[in-house]
Amino acid sequence: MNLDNIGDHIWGAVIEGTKPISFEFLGLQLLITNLRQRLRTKEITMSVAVNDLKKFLGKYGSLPAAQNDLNKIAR
Amino acid sequence: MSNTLLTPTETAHLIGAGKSLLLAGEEQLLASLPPGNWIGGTIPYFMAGQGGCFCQDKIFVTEIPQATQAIARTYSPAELPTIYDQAADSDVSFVILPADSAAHTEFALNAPRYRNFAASPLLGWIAGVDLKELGRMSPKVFCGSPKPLTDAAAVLHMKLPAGCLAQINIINLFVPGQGEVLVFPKGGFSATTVRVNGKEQNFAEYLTAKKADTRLPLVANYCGAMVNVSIKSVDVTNRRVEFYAPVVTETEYRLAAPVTDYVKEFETRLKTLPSGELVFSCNCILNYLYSQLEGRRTGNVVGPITFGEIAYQLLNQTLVYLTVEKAA
Repeated sequence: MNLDNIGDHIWGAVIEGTKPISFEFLGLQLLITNLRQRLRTKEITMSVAVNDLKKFLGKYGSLPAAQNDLNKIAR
Repeated sequence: MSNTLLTPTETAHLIGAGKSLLLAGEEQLLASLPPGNWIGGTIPYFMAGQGGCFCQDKIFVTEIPQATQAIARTYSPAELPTIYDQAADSDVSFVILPADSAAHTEFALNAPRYRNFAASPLLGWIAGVDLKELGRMSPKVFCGSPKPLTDAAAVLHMKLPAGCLAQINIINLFVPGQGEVLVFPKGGFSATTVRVNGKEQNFAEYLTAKKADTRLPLVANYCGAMVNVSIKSVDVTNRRVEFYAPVVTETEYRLAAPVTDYVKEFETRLKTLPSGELVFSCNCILNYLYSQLEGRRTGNVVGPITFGEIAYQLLNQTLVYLTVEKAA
């Protein structure tokens, strides 16, 4: 899946939790929680968070659990 | 020969053959081993093939069969914030930290804020001691030599063959109970104040008044992953509660619902394991004690019993495991 086909507003909604998804991939679950906490404390901006998330999924998106999660994000 | 209890002589033979190994056992056993490509930590409790056991004359040996290259190195507490940067070139990294050391504290408090957190698979455990020796002996780790270390992380950065991906997962039988939402205004290994359904009160007094079963952890939902914080002690006199892992500020926790039969529920969860080969696992000493795992088997899931588990960050009362999957 081409991650750039998913708009930044969707990535933002995933990170903020306004697009509720039940994730399967532990690394992704912990990363998104971490990004939310760092956004809340203003350690990072949303664009940094989106980049971090896309970078992570670019690396591990071929794991079956990550693929399932990606499909849920793209839906 | 992987994931099994071996004598020091058998272990030394594998080290001599150039194997990259993860080891767990008593200090004098690990300190008798030759230099080589291994890391280890002290602990005499294991989930072995025959079931949970206390063993002081054998070493639990894990060999990752898929490893093509492994580099052992230590990280001082000051170096730990770079661990995810250093792990970037590896396919998976294993870490062992001595319980109650500055390295343990540093990682526990700060790992989620390390640069590139979770960008590479990092898992492992916290070394401990025989519970009868608590306060008399200190946990140790070893990194490629028989010299025990009391305040460093021993890390094995490992490469896997092309097309193989490491996936860390957990089995946590605890889920949030139906009780109040607990939010801590200040994070850390201890707490005095908590907001209970939004109302501030002393946490030690709350647990005491509630007659809470403090064998049950606090549980937070991390986007679907249940993350525990285990309660170490409730000091009513000083109005303070100590934890085995830090609570995170402004995160919603609940006391866990009771688990009636750990082994039975564990076996149910085993059926949901991913398809890849399970190559490493570790489980918590509190699960071992509270669920009376001695002599009982948890399927084919074997490994050291630990004073804390690491799946990217420190966890409590959780089984952590690694599978190696073929990339789709």
